[in-house]
Amino acid sequence: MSTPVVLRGCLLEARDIVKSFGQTPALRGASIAVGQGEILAIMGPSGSGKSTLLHCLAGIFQPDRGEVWFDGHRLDTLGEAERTRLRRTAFGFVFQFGQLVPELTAADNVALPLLLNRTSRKLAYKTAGTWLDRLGLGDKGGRRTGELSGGEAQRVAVARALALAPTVVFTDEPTGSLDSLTGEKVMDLLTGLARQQGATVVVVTHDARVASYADRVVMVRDGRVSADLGTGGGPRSAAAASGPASARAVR
Amino acid sequence: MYSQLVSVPLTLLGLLEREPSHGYDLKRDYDAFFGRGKQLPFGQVYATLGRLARDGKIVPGAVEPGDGPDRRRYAITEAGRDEVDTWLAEAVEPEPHLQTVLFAKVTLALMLGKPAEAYLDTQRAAHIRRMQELTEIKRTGPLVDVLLADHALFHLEADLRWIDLTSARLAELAEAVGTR
Amino acid sequence: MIRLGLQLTLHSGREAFVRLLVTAAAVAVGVALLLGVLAEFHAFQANASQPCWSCTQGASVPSALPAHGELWNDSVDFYQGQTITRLDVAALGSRAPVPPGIARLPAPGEYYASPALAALLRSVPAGELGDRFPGHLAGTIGQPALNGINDLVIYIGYTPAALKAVPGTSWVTSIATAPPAEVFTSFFRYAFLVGILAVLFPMLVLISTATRLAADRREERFAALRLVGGTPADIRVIASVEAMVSAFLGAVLGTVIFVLVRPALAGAALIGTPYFESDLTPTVWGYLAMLIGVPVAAAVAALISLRRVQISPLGVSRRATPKPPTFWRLAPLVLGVALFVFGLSRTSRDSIGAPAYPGLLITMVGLVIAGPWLTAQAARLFGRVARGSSALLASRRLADNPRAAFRSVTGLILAVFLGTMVGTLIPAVNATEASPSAAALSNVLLDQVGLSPQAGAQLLSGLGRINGATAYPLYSLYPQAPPTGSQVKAKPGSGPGDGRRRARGSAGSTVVSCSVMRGLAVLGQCAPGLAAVQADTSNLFSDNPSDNTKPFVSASNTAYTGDLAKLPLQAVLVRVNDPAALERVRTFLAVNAPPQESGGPGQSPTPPRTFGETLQIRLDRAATLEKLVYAAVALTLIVAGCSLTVAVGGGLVDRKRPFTLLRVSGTQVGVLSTVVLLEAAVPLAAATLIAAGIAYGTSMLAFIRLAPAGTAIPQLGHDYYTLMAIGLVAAFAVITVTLPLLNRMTAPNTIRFE
Repeated sequence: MSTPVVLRGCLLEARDIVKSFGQTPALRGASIAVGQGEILAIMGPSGSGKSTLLHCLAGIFQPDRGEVWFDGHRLDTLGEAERTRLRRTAFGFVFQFGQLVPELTAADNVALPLLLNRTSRKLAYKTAGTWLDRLGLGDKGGRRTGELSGGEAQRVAVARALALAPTVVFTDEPTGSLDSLTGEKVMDLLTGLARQQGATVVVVTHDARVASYADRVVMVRDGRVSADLGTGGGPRSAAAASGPASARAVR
Repeated sequence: MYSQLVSVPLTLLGLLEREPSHGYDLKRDYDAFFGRGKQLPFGQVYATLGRLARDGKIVPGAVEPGDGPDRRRYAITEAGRDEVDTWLAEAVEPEPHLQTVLFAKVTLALMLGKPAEAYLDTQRAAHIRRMQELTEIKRTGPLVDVLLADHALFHLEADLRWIDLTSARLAELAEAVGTR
Repeated sequence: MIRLGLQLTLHSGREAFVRLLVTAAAVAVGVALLLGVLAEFHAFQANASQPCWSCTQGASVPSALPAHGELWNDSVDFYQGQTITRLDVAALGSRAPVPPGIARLPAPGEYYASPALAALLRSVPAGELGDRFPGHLAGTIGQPALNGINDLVIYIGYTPAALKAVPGTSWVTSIATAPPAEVFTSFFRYAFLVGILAVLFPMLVLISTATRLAADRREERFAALRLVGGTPADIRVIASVEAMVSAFLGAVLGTVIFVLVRPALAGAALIGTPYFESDLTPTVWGYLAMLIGVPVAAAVAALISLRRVQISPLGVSRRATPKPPTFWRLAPLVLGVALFVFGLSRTSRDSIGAPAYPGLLITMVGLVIAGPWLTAQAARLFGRVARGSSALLASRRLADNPRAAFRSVTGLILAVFLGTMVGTLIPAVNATEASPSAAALSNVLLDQVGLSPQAGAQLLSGLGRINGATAYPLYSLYPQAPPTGSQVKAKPGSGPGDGRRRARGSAGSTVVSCSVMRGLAVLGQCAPGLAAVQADTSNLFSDNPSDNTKPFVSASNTAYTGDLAKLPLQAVLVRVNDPAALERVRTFLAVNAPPQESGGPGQSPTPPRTFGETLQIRLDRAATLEKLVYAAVALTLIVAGCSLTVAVGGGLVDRKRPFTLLRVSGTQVGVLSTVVLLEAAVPLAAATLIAAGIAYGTSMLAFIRLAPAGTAIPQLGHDYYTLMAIGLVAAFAVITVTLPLLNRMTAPNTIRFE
């Protein structure tokens, strides 16, 4: 398998990451580069290490070997406090389930990261309200997490991730526990709003339909990143695949 | 790109790449692997072989003693080999219902000891690209297009799942086709 | 099914085994403490119900000695701050009653001594102690007559004629067998009851908390059992077995700990003298109660905790917000207090009114029931007032599930309640600080002698020969004027209520030389140029440390110009330089100036003491009861601290997931730690105020009804506040033990397994 070309001037980059958990190797020299504003999908079968790659890119894990670069600085060598701060200010997260605090309302959950960053209470809740509106949950701000449906909870998670205006949004199987239509809505909103904000998105998924929302799809197999599976199809490549693509569609 | 319909000439050509064979050996093998219950008519076999010979992809060997025109052994040429390689390596147009073609390609690749995995990857990439295009259309197009795109997406996804499964089963498959 | 339960309990992997051990350890602590309390109670009861032989009251001695019964004179003496109980006895006739502890009465010239006193007599020079007791040691006094191993008791044999002449002798035909009517016994019983509850209740809470440890995991396991066909009854059996195994293990462990600690406990002397180790046992019933009762209680707690949870085969999928606690939760508390007050109103001096006990119990239960409501109110208030993300998270969680939050601090609240209760019940002795004058007089002995001028002069010269002693005489103005007033006999171990009045001189009837006053500067100075003055020394003989050190001479005292040598010696103040000199002086006075006056039969005069010793007696009483306070509060705080740790630790396991994801999303670990602390602090603060308030109120009521009249209204001294503050902070600080666990459990890289 050929190593993909490492772009210079990219926003987030992993170089030859090796990470093992005890005896089990998860990543064996994975490299990936993500450009500013790009939506990248990482696909692969379970056990391939794709989630681990995401965690390393987000600074949750420190790799055993290799480097992670973010915005021109080394990420993997930062201390825990610094990485925690980054996760609070520059990174947003959307997981498959269980990420909201159960006893808080939807508005509380969205406002929480802002409050943790010492934003004023008024401003935090105002921002939370705006984002809940954008995700179609304007009237559900006061509901507790337990009263929301799966799709609604996931949308709250997206609102929370985007409310702090992150540079990168990391998401791992965001539609895993949702039905097709709800999952679509969530992906539409996530990618659409992220593009509006100019945020970069990294999606880990095994679902091809989710991956096809991305500008670029890579495959992870046996702890390494294989060649890009698809570049283009998204608006970034709209110029390259215009007429023939849409003509073929309606058949 | 190659058509997604099962191509008899290419299949026979591929079978010939293993070893030079008689017509009815080819028919027998085709029926066993790719016939799916239907038998390939002799006439079609010989007509196809004739066409392939005319195109220079195979050469007929010397007539051997026995009755009938089918006692000729055919052998593949360099051009024929190239054709098989190109066909195997190139992705099929990503439209739904191509299992039969993909299946043929994978089986042949395994028989011939070629990198089946890489072919599957290439196909997967093509599918993904098409799915990306369709998703973009859904974002911007009219509702009718959205519905059609959804339909296509689901089928493409089904194909991808098959591709994933087959990828995982390649070792088994190789054994199965090896001992024929 | 029971076998399955055992198998599941013991072989469920490391995590379940750790849970088992933690529960057992917590229970062990509680059981050991409870056994200790029961043992102390038993010893106390044994003492309190011992026959009080010294309570024997006789009749006055007829002039013609009867031929049966005996002459009886019991008094107290002192040595180095310890009390010696002394019985002088002379048999009349052959079948004179024998006091407990000996086989026959001591013959004249013999005495029996308690083992401790016998040892003392052997080790101390006769001039300091032995000379006070005529005769020789004939044997030792046995346990039935003694309260503890350190008791100093002596029975001295006399001839009837000799004993008849001693003041205070009475004629006795039978020895009292009734236990002493100690004014403080019912009081102590109440205190013990409170003490037992102090450990029992928090221990039940602890057991219940430990049973609920990591409830989510437990429910998952039970759901799996249901899925493969287990019935709810099966689940109940298994849960009970689980609980009983760990509780039994804990009970055994606790019993072992107690047995090891018991000898040390005997020496601890919580109340007065150290008990006999044989008395200090919780008895077979106590052990059985622990080994059987505790597992049963644990099983009951497990069943109760299961009752509210329906284990379906699918487990618990989504937790709906439970309903908020209602105002009606306050009802049992109000009921309990009312019942308690009612019970107190029916209290007599001998027994506490029956409704008071259940009233107290219901009050405590009521506190536990009302807790969640209080927590919910406090959470609401807190949420409105506090800023910051930790406060947001904590207040919402508290408001969401106040029951769970309160459960962790239930033990502590009970500790506060009981601690306040016990702290109020102990009368605080104010003015225990020695005034400077008391300090100056602490080594000055006071003895009332009442001797003729010649005898007085002899005594003074004899005293002057004793090394380390300086005598200051006080003369009586009126020759042969007997001191008026009676002296009340002091019984060993009596409470602070009975006063001891000594003979008082009438106003101005004492004459003292000014040079003596210069030696006793704190008691006043004469006007310059005088040789002697008249004074009123009645204050000197008071029991109250602030009274007996008041100066009795000043510039205004009338001068006395006569010859002091011609006056009778009323009393003598002797300053001693060391304890040996003190005892020599006491022995000398006992031999050469035995008491001449008494208040009547059965009322012997008391031997001389220094001002320091008088003060010390008052202080000791307070110290004894103070020790009780500390013991009880410490007990409850230990148990409550265990309870809190267990609850918080278990709660962390349940909230691992949301916390981990919060950490992943960038929440600092300090924020989470603050949340954990706040979730315990808010309910604690709210309920503490209420609990302390109620406890203080009920104790005040109890005190007013039960304590002897004249005892000072207790204040909550700074000792109480210090102990409470330290105890609460410490029990709380124990949570910090769990915080590193929080850090490790929620580390973002554990997300791998989500």
